Amino acid sequence: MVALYVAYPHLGRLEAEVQRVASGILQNLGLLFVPAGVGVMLHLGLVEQWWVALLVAIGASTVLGMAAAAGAFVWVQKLRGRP
Amino acid sequence: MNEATAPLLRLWVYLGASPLLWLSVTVCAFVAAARVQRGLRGTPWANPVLLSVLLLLALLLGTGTPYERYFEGAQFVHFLLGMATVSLAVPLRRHWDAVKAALPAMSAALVVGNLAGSVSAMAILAWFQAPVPVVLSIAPKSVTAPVAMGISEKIGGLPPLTAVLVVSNGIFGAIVATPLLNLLRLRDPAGRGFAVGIAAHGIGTARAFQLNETAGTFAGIGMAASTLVASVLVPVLARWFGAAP
Repeated sequence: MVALYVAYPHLGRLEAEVQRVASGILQNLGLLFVPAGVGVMLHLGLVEQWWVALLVAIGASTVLGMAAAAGAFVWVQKLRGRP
Repeated sequence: MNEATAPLLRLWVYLGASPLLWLSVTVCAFVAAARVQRGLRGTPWANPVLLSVLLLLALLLGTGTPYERYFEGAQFVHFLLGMATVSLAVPLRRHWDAVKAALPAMSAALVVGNLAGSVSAMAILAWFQAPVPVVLSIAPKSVTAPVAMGISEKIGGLPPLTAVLVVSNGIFGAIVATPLLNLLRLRDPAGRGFAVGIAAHGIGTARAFQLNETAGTFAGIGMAASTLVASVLVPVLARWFGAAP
């Protein structure tokens, strides 16, 4: 990653090509998580027993975590006088 | 067996035994799911990860294929993880000035976001009186799967359960990100992306890259930095939780 970061401005003609490949990979990042997600079938019993608690915990904590991160980001940007 | 179907059957026997079958099915399922989402004008509810996981679950349970057999093929997807990490260099270079300007805000968001996510998740499960290993399994839920599984093992959680929670967290985060951040009136794509990367790791980052390259870049940085923060923070939280009555 560091090598590509350093080399990127010097790629010349290749630059557009590299960018196309890189953004293609990054836009389809979700594919990487499909096998881990299918792994739910290994724990169907545990998930079945605790699904309400797990659902509430994942839902609430994701919203809280995202809102807290966004709030802290905005707050510090404002403190530093940026829009 | 008639003449016409015999070669087909032979082909199936060959493919069925080969790890490439489940790799191809995984890729096809994802491509199809991404098409469905595009067909629905990109609505976040039709998350391609969620749709392809459901499709594959139905296929595996329907054909009685054990997960181990599936994973023999699907694990090759993980080779792409290295390429994806390297690819992050391109947007990072293109948006470096914006990244530099936002460093203090990013540090604050990292600590606050990780803390709020892990503590609330553990507190809710403890309130439901879930067993201790289940509570510990959810603590690293907002970092990317391989790292989260490592942390989970270290603190006494169940790594495969953590993987499932990580993916559910990511899918849910990717779905709620747009409406939630709109509700919070956060318009800066850098801040939006960063919050999504912290709270919903790679699946959120994938979603952010679909929408906006700046948001995607910041999500990628948020995801990467979050793994570092969580590796330090989560074991401390787990120790506190273990010490509490």
